[in-house]
Amino acid sequence: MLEARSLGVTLSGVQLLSAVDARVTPGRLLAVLGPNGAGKSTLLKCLSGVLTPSEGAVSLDGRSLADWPRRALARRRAVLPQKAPGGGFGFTARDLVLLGRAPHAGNPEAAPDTHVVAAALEATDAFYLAERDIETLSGGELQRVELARVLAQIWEARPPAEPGYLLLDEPTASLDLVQQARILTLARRFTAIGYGVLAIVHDLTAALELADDALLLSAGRVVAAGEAASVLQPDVLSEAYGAPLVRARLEGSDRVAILSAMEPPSFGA
Amino acid sequence: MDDRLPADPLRKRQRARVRRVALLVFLFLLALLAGLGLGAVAIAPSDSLQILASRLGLTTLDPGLSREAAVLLSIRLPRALLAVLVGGALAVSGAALQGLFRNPLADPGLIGVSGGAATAAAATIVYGGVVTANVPWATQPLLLPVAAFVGGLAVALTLQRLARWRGQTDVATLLLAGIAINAVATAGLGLLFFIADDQQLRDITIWTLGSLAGRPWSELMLAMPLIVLAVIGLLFMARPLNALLLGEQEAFHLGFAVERIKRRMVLLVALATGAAVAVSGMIGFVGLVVPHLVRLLLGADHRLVLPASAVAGGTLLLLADLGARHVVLPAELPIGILTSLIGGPFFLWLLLRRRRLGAGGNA
Repeated sequence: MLEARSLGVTLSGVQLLSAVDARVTPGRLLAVLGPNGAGKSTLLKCLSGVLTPSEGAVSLDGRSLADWPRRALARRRAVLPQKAPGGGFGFTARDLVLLGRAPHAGNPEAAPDTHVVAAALEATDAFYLAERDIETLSGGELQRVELARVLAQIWEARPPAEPGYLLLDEPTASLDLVQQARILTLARRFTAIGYGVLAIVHDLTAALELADDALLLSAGRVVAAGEAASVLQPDVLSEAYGAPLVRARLEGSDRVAILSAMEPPSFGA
Repeated sequence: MDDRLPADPLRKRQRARVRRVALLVFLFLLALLAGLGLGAVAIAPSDSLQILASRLGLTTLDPGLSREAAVLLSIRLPRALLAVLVGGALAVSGAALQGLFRNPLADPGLIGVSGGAATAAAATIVYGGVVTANVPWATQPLLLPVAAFVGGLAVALTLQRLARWRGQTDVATLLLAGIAINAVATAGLGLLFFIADDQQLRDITIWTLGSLAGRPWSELMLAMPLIVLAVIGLLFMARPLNALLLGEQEAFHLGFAVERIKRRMVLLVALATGAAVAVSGMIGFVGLVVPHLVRLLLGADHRLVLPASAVAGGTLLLLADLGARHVVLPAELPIGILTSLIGGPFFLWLLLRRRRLGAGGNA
């Protein structure tokens, strides 16, 4: 279990998080929601260990992150960054994914790198891209290769071994609608293997359909937490986002979408 | 997996890389033999090998080769070794800094390490007399490299202090502060130019232009362990440098101690560059051009780029030194002029080529 308890973060006198509890559970997808500036990325940085919280603590399997050896930690949790790496160094997709194997260097018990790299690319539907220069990939393709990289990093951390945790920092930023859903669907697939996944998500409909749990943040505080369906209620969301959000039933199906119902501004008569 | 498949791109690429590494090593050996053999007393490659082998006690020396042996062992060999060491040190330092800064323009000269070394060396040329007159063991040939080394290291340490903020080293600040320190060092050098008398002026000028000429074994032995240690240390940085290509946070996520690695790397670069500049003066463009050339040939993986840069840097300097010795016979050209003369246009060509390939956007 990757767990944050009563986190508080204050940077340069600004309170970014206060009294936040969060829990990433093996086999479940946790969607972190909230408007810009709510503290979603700050929470993720605390959970990954990049940022040391001013109050509270983050623990993995009951052991504080600070007490984990760097490499051992890297074999258990991986982070998909918001921004994919810029090109310019002539790496192929395979080279990029291979970088994810760094924490396993010199470990005789680790699976062979070439095998893991191929399997990870396979798992993110990106195997056919293996030999492509990453500079030639589209945003969606590159994000799937990056996802393969972080998956390769925690490849061995699945049952019966101790489970691994994936933290996805807005994996959908700058992707089109279809690609966004695709990344989240892949993340969902990883939970079925036994990983615990946290994803910062802006697409509320996708969160409703794909996430097991949800954590709604606003102004650095938890507004609602629990099962996705219970958190993703229009009234709670509207208050957190400061704009009217509604549930709309999709024509001819049982599916529900969550949309902004903000009035468009009028531009004169 | 299946040999009947016409193109397995991975294996094809690997084979191409092996061929290119072999080519680099072959060129290096060729340059080494040329460096040992060419000059006023020409020595055939087979004779060079025989002399070296006899020196190592493997064979006995043909008595007809005693003159060649003297030239080779006391003049050519230390000079060739110096070229290899200095070229390797500058090129590996450049490759490491470019990786660390994620900036293709980084080079030991740019962050002021060479500038600090040069200013310290010039100060020794102008004021060293005061020291040598009062301290019995201090001689000018010893004082100058030591001062240059200390100067380079001092700049590196200052830089690190400046760029550290809340326990983190900001790489952009490091680069900009380096440029500022470089400016100060250049001003200091200018001031020393102004103060120096005619002979000193000539000494400083020659030194800032760089030369591998006339370094005795003793000086080489002073620089060799420092350079070898620092270069080996940098070669061990290949994996973290690869991770740093993704960004500092990503390298941390991958389990690297990013802060420690950054500090260690700047120190190792200062050690290698300081020692190299101390024995050879300022030799420009090797640290900038060689890693680029190597990446062009072998890709960006630092596990290949760093050792290949060491080899290619040594080769380049061996060849440049050959040129320096032969272009204006019987005199000798300062090698720094040659490397900058070739390196500058070559770098321009690289830039234009990049732009033509449409990859200049994220440089």
